[in-house]
Amino acid sequence: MQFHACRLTETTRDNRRVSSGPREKQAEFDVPMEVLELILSQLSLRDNIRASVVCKSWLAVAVSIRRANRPPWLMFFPKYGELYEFYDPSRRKIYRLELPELRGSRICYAKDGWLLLCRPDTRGVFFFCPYTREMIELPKLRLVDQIVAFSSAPTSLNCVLFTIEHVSNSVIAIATCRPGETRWSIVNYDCCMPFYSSIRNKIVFCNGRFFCLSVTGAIGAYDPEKCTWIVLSVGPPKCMMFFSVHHYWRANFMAEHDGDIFIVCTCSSINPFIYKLDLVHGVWVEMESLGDMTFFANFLSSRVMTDILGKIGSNVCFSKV
Amino acid sequence: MVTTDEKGPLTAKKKSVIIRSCDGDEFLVSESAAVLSTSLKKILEEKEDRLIHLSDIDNKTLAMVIAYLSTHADDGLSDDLKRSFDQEFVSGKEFDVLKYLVLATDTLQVTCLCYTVAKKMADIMKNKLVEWVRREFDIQNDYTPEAEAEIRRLDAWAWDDRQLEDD
Repeated sequence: MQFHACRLTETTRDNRRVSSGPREKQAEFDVPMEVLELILSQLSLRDNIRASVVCKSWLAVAVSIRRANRPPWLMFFPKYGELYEFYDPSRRKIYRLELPELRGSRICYAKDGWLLLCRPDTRGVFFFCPYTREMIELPKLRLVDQIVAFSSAPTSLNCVLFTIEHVSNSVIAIATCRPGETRWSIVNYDCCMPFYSSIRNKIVFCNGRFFCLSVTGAIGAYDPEKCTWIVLSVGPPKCMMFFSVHHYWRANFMAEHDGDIFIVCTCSSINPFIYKLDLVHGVWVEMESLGDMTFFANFLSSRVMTDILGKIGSNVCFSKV
Repeated sequence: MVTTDEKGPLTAKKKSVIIRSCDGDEFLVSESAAVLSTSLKKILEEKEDRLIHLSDIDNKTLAMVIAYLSTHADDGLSDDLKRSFDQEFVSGKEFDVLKYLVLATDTLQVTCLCYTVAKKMADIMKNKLVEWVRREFDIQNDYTPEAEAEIRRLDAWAWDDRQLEDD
């Protein structure tokens, strides 16, 4: 069956091939360019590349709308001195940069091109953008074995910082701050369900809430607008269920993508387990594959990206083996 | 439901237009539904004619587009209901049907439906063999075997690790 373009006889649209005369060569391929663009732009990078093999005109459209993301760079802190290394995995190249302003600091979190750092000796907390070397100081905070996260770039309107400190098995303290404020607001919350908070927590910001995964697999959510904290009635994912101190080598990583939360667990098996949070049914659903996503796992802040060019797509990438 | 509100003269009274498909069937459509198509709106603004002939859209496709337009012109339906209607509208439709729909909605300039149909087509095309795509779109491969092999070689990773489907 031929696939003819329909055309309205009673309208004239300037950008159409209305008066193009006989088109014998294109007769079997009569999808208007803008329709083809619309269809191909919905494809993942992998499907887009395959579509370019269909024919020459598809190649032109596929290439013109192709979006390929580059994997995030890895930043290495020097043991001595001020020479920081940045590794670009797509080019397998290392760049070095002297950043004396970061002396004595350690990294807390990274997101949207910004780093959150702290200086343990002075209790200083600050944002740093390695591209522009812009620095944004925040009020001081005493950090004890805890992870600090932020919702979005500090230059955005609704940036909030969040950290959670273990007080007792039934009480946690949540500290929040917004850039420009003069102090952190610290509030204690009673937990109906036990929540053991530690340096091994994983925190992501998703749909307006900070989700915090504890080392035992419990997950809590903090809403910075309503200032509410709840431990969700979601059982731990299968491979985190039997946590013990002897499993210190086990690691789990959590990241957000497009409104969904994913965790990657490394266990004794060769391949890591991948789970997606199903909030409606209160379960972690095991995933067979990452599909078009790439999971960049990191102890402090992991990240999920789609449409990564090359072999590392659809994989879990660890920053060190 | 058309009310006499501030929407302007076009929708002030419940007027109808007749749309004729290329196979000659005629459809009576309320003007409030017809104007959701930018092309039909332009025609109605330019001339008084209440009969619009679409020489390239067949019966089956036109009936589907009109069902969509009428649902979206119904002020009694919530946006949520309309959204779920859109999803049901494209689900389960054959690829062949979607091809004609996407062309018709592009011609009639029903942007939202055009986008929804294109997205559904892309979903179906996911993980399909190149040969499948060529067959469905009736496209002649105009590459030389060497040129095609070269493109496949450049991004070999896009083919290497998945079972591709041919139906």
